Amino acid sequence: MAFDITSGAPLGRAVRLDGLAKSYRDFHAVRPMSLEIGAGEFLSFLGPSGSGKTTTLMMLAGFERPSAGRILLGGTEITAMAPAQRGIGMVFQSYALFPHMTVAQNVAFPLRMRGIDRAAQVRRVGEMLELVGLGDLARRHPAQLSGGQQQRVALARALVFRPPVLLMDEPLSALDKYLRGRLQVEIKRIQRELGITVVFVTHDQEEAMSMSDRIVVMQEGAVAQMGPPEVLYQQPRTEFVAGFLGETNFITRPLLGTAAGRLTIDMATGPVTVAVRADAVPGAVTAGPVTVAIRPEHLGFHPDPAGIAVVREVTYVGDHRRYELALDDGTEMVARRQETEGAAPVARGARVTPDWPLSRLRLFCDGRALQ
Amino acid sequence: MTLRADAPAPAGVPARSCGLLLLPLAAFILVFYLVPVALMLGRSAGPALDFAPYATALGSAVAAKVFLYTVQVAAVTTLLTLIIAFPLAYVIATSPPRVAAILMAIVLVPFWTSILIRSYAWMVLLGRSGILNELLLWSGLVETPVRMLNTRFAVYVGMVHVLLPFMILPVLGALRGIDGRLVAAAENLGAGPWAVLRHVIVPLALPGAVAGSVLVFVLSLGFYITPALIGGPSDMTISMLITQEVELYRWDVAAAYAAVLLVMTLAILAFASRVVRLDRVLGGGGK
Repeated sequence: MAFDITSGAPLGRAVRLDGLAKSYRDFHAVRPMSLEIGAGEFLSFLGPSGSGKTTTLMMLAGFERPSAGRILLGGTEITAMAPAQRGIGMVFQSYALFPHMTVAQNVAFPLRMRGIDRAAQVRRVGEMLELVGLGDLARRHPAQLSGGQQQRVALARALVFRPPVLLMDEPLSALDKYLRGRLQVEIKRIQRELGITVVFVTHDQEEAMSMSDRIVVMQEGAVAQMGPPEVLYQQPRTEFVAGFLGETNFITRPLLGTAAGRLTIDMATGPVTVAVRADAVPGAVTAGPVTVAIRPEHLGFHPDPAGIAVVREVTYVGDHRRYELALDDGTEMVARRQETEGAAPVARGARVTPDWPLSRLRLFCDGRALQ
Repeated sequence: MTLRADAPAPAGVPARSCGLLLLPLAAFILVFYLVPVALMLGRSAGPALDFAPYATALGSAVAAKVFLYTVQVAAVTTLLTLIIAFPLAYVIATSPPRVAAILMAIVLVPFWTSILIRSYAWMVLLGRSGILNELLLWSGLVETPVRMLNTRFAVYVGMVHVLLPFMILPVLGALRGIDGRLVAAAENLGAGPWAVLRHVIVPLALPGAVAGSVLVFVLSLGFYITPALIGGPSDMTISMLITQEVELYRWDVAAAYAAVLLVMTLAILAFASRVVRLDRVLGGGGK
């Protein structure tokens, strides 16, 4: 049976950021940013610390006043509204549970603030605690709960008043890996059941990729790239994005020649010709060198006594083996190989020749993608 | 810091030598505090060790009135101090560091002045031709000077003034210990400024307020100089009663009063420490 809170129309409303920016004197924490977050979408802001992702979230919550731009919630401007008036749910990094209140009192707090009568409060708190799987802990105090349980209480408290948008500021960073994985799945389930719009901030690229409909990668206060996880992973527009999402080998190689929409690169094993965007060959590129990026799972190699690389280290990781290769010019690379039945692993110290799958090579010049 | 036998001693310093460092302090307390208290308690038993001084002390109607009056003054002083100190501490806690430092100095500077001097200052301010009366006369609010000095009002003014820092400091400590994110969370969940104060800040500052109240109440019970100098003739506190007995050379009865005051104080502290962790608020104790 669906709980009362999950039945009925989806909660989610669309959010629009319109030229939103924040600066402190000369420091641009967030450069003018415009984006639409769809109703019911799960959008993550991903970036290293200081990239402006949390500042953006704080502007959405109303704790930071934007220096420029507007925030619209379902078409209504909320840029200057006080946090209490916005009706947006938020889960803080530290959970921020009220230590002097029980779990039930914590979850009931937003309902009390809205003057909802006692009976309805009790019913909705009960439903919400069931939804996050904490029905039997209602009378405990936060200090008596584990980190994962506190996280669930914070989630229940942020959802109980049926907000149209839920903000989450690195909500899982304090938990161990196992718990993090479980809560990721659970947060996704609850988000789907409620149809709520979620804006999630994290510096963990795996977390962002596994949970999000779209990811906004932030770098030094600006949007580096925005899109679905697959697009960001497979077609990163900048070297930064390629390096930030997943593991990537970056190899700098000299350029042999350019033709219309094509670049020929000296890949140490021989010349390789790769198709690039027609408009992507300015003067800087023709001078070379270019940076070639390849994911460890795409980098192939085969044993070859006359090969140009040597296996430095082999690590068994269960479902695959991780090989650290070194080219003779000193360039280090990582390759991941699935275990195949009957095939003996390549030994440490063996000489190998790398195989470059053409369709998997991503070319960058001055940090920008050429394809 | 607590030293435990099983705790590893810091490198190079055997745990035993740390204990030796406490010896001078222990000796000082023994000679100048514990021995006099023991002598006083012994004296209060009377020459025949029949506790007759207690019968005299507790049987006196005047003493009963004085004890009641002292407790009442202490309670009112505590309440007034709390009412004044909480908003002050809140303003200090929420001010930018520079402003907070100035406000703290304003609170603490009188703290470093002798109570005697401060009581004389209040005599100047509250006296018949004191500054306050001059001001009232000049403004035309009153026709003749108001009697303020040597009244219970003066006692409250003087005591609240002296004891205010003892309330502000623990309350401020509790307020500063409140995680700002709790306030942000409350705002996010729909709480306006008053609701944040009522549901988050006040409950979380309560241990500090209780600790401050206990301190102020206990200190008020033993007040002497302020009520003696600026109080009225009927404003007699326990300390003044003890002095009076000493002046009459009734040492045993004075000791009995002092013993009763000591037991009262200890009882209040014992009760309060069940309610809040006093050692934590007052800066002592473990973590």
